Amino acid sequence: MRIIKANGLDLNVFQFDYDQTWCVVFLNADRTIYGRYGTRAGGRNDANTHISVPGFKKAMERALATHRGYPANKEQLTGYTSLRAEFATPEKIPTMRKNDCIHCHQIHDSLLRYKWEQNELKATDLFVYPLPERIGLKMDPEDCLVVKRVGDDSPAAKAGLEIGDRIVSINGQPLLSQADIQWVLHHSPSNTRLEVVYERGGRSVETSMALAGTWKLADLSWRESSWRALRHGVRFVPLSPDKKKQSNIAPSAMAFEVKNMYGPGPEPLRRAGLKIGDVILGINDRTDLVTETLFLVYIRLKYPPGEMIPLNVLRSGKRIQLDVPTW
Amino acid sequence: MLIRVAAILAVGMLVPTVVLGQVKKPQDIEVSPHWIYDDMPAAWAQAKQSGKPILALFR
Repeated sequence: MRIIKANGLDLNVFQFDYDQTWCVVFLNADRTIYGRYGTRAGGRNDANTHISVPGFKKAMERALATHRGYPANKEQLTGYTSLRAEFATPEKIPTMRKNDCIHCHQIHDSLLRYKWEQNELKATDLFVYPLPERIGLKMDPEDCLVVKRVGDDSPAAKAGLEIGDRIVSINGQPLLSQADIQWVLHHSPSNTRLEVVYERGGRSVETSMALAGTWKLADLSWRESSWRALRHGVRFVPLSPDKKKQSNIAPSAMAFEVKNMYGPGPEPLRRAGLKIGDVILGINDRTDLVTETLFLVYIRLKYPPGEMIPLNVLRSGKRIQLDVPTW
Repeated sequence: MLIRVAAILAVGMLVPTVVLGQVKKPQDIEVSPHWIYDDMPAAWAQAKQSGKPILALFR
């Protein structure tokens, strides 16, 4: 079936990366999830790099094989059971805008906005469904579960994985596609060990992969949900190298131009005096937030509703301190 | 059968459905009768009756 609008969608069943433009969930009539297909790696140029018709066909064949083995394999699939959703349907999210056609990304951005307004937003809410590349695995989109490349000195390399290996399961979770690898990574803590089963040369091999640190952090700028959840009506654009030079800003320094402010969301910023064309050089003593993701995530995690944000601003060649409220 | 139908649908979806300068609505594409649109109860019922799995496509 095709779900074009997410109105009334049962969020206790359908949990996936809501920022995707195309996604498939395979499931039984009793709501047991067999697996998922669909991965988006970035903006327009990277929207389709991880999916293909042959890969989708493989995922469907694996789904049918899973169905043929059901319900004998039901216990293996319990890891796919969606977690109890905070809100049963999109309409129940308090910050969901009334809409005859709710888009999937609105589920994510409304949830993020709600959590921020409740001062409950965490980094794990923002950095979702990590790509396998984050642990050193580049999967072949023509198959989805065959390793195409292993990152040097990555967790995958240290676990002994090689090009051509076919990943069978992670932490006991059978896989249909790369989207299922992302499901496991999404639900894994940052510091953990993954138990990986793979096939090499016709043999089944088990290995353990240690994960630690910031592997879950990724660029969020392509995500449709970032417009409401992070930017909320303000478009910040990194200053170009030429403009940095003209303004005596070091090439590696943080500098974001306020390119535009849309709709009522940024009204508190306008009232506080922030102007289009202002360049944000830092937040208090933080001048190391050099990507839009780092900059906006820092604001949303550090400054809950009602707080003031101390901005270091460059305006018409002069550096000024401008305190603005959260928005 | 499911694979063949779904493969046709997949090709149809991954190729832009633009004809004579007009973008077709999903329900207008040639294979639309094979799909259930935005009707989960119908999908659950048909899957239960037929014993087949569900492929739920979000787009």
